[in-house]
Amino acid sequence: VTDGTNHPQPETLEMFAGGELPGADGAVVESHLLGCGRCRGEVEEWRHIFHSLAALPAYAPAAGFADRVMAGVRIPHPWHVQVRAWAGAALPRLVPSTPSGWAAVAALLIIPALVGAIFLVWLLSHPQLTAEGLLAFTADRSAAAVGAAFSGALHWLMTTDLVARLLGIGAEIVDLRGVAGVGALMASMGAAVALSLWILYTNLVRTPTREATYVSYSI
Amino acid sequence: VDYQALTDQQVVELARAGRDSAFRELIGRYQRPVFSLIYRMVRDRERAEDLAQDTFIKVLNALDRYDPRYKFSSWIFKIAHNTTLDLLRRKEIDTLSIDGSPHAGTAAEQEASSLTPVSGTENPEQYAENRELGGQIEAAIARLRPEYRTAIVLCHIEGRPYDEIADIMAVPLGTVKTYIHRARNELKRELEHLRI
Repeated sequence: VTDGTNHPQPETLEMFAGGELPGADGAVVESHLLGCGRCRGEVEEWRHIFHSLAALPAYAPAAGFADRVMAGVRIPHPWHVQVRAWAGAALPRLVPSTPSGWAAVAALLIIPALVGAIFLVWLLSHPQLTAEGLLAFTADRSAAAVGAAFSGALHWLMTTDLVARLLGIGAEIVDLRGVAGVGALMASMGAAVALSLWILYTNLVRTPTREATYVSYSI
Repeated sequence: VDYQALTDQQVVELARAGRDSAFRELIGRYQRPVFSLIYRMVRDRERAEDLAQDTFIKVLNALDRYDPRYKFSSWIFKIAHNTTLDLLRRKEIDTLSIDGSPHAGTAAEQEASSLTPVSGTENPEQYAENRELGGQIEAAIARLRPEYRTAIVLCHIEGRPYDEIADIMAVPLGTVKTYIHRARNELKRELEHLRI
């Protein structure tokens, strides 16, 4: 901290004036300053400089700066914003403005509801049909439809070129290399899984240590 | 929306959702510090305006790439610093007076290229005195190397901590400390005659 003449180093005085010297070192300098006018003057000079720098004014760009910037900015429009904008523009046009228009809308809404309600009452009044039976029938048919869709999707996936090629490569490895081939195949799949888990971990769980790594500065 | 109660990150989220006023809020929050930094680097109002405009357009058009866990200020200052350094490297920028461009041919041009500080609560004498002292300090800052200039402005005028300055300038922390130490000593030598 001190030079050969027992005065603190110039850098130390500069740091002290800027409040950058840690506790113990700061206390040593402070006690030295009590009896040393030369160093006190040096610290005062630094403080004046720091104060003058901090007191420099901010400058403002010319009026209309925000408008000029906004002219070059592409404002994103997420789908829900676009839907809301579309609905905001379209709905007023759909609202009827005459009594006959309102009557037509009411008829459009009431007729299907009425027909549906009559059909439901007729179904439930039939001696063989109950509400529970209808629910069970609907659930059974829905499950069958979902199962058929899943099975169809799986069948489609297995018949695609990519999957067929991958299966072919796997079979070749097993045929050519035997147990060692199977081992190699399993090891590469294991490595791929481990890599995926690591990528997920680093992006979702781990706290980054340095801001610059994760902020996209590459503009 | 009461923007005053929102953090930069929250305002960025609103801007990402397509809210025009959130973009304007970000411009309002940072136009003075960003413009001041750039102006102190290039010392020319017109160039500083263009560079500040470029900086904001780059940043606001890239908000989807910004990670809100980190400081928005570091990011925008970094873009401003890089944009300005690119220009300084491409062109030889003159050191200009705070009173206007030396290329100004008429009094009107000189007036147009000079700047009036934002603050101003002093009486006329204090204003003139502070303006003269401020002018001397600004001129001394302008004579520093660009790296020293950025470091000293961010540290002493914008009040940014060393680690943030290191991030903004993309240099190690030790280098920032060296820049600031050397810049301070150069300023001290330059301003010795003022006995400040």
